[in-house]
Amino acid sequence: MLDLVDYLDVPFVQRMLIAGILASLACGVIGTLVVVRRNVFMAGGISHSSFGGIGFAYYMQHLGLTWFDPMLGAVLFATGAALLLGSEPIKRRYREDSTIGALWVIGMAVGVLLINLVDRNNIRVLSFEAILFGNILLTSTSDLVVIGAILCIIYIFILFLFKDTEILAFDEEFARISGINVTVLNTAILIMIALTVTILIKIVGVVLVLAMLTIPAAISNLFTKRLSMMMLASSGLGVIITTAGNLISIELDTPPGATIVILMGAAYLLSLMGKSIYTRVLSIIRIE
Amino acid sequence: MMKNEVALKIENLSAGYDGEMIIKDIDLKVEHGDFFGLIGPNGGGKSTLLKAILGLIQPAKGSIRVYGFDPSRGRKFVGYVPQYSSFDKDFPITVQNVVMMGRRRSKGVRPWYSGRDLEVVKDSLSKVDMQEHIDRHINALSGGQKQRVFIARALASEPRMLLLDEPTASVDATIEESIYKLLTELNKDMTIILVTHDIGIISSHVGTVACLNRHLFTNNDQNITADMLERAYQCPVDLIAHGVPHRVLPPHDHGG
Repeated sequence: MLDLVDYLDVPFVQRMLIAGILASLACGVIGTLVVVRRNVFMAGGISHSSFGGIGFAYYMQHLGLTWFDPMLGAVLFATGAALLLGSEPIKRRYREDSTIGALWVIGMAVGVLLINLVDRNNIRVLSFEAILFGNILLTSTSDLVVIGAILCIIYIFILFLFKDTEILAFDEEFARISGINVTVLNTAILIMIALTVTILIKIVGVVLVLAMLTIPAAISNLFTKRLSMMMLASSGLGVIITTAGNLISIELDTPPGATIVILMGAAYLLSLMGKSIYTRVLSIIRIE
Repeated sequence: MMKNEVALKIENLSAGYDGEMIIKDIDLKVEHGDFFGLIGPNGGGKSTLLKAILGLIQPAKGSIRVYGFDPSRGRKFVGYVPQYSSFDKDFPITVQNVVMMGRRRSKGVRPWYSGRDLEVVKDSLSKVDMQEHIDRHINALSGGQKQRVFIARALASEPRMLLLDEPTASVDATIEESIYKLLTELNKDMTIILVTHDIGIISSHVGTVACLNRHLFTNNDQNITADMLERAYQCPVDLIAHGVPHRVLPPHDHGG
């Protein structure tokens, strides 16, 4: 068995680690917004409906459009789902969780149906397992460029619009009164969520996206009192846990996506216990 | 500021959602410097009227003028204080950042706040006597303290009018009294309009009172008596039943 240090020289391991770090940085910002805006279930719907986009892309390849990358299909479907869920008439008229549930399962069904139609002798199709639970080991250099570009867009967005985003997330009515274009900003945030989800599908897969998006943010929420600090903390936490998960998965030969998610789940559990003990100790000290 | 300037003028207003009118044929005039209390039962259209004044919903009929402007422009003169209990208690935000939101309109699209913005925020917090809590998490405060912070957020926009939605809804009697004292103090510089379903809170601080239950019923008596309150709360049924025409508040001298 090779030493862990020796693995760091292997190119695909390097790409895997870099992909994990870039995705965690995107999650630090966007996952924080998802958590404080209570969009977690919505992000789940966006992620699962993008499975339909991946199926759609393979089907397009089957029809001869060989340039139609699965990631392109995922971006299109994820963005479409996000815009649909965020549109004012739909939000006003229908129950949000019902709409999300419908998009969630329809996306999955469309994906399964279309992938089944594809002639797999001619077109190389990822296994369902890789799509659903991630294939970070297959990260290519061009994937890294795309993930890096999306991270740049997210950083530019939050650098210029952090304050407006904070007001909108905290108090939408006040945002409207204060002259913020709520519709445009909401749409922009939803597109950022869709882009982030697409990055994450590459790493942890459709099903496990929610973990990377919400758990580091939810942990940070327990210990911070500023939105900016929550973003910084969940970025750092995400980088540490994801990198650790990737390394462990190499060492123990376990699936990387699932390993990362288990680590995050354990960290969340410990944090909740830690916070509860901390609060109790604090109240005892205050009483005495 | 001229004393007899009209802060809010509503004429023949009907408004609601999806074609259903919640409030009908409202006429109202509030002068600058007034302390105006709007009472009425839940479901009587108080929040619809608030939303219309703030330009969050469009009137189906009639007009609203806030300091002479359409609500979407006039609301820059308005400091709005919503019910603090409607906020997410886990949201990571400090008192300073909540109050800083009041500076958004004057900041515009610039990504950062200036030193003057911070000065105004500190000043607003000291007006509500909360300056020492500036770095605390909003949820570490008591109900009355939160209410003061949201009043400070409204003050940070340097408004001519404060518009408060149930400002004493979830606080006890002592704190209620202190909030009224604060509002009376603030009333020296600005118009105050507050809305509540609880007649108990209309104390001697309020200058004028009106009752809203789909229609608006006004009483130009500045001395609020138990008898008047009783009438005001029952007025919807009575006045509709007897077909008494709605009266508009006559312009009155505020004693200044």
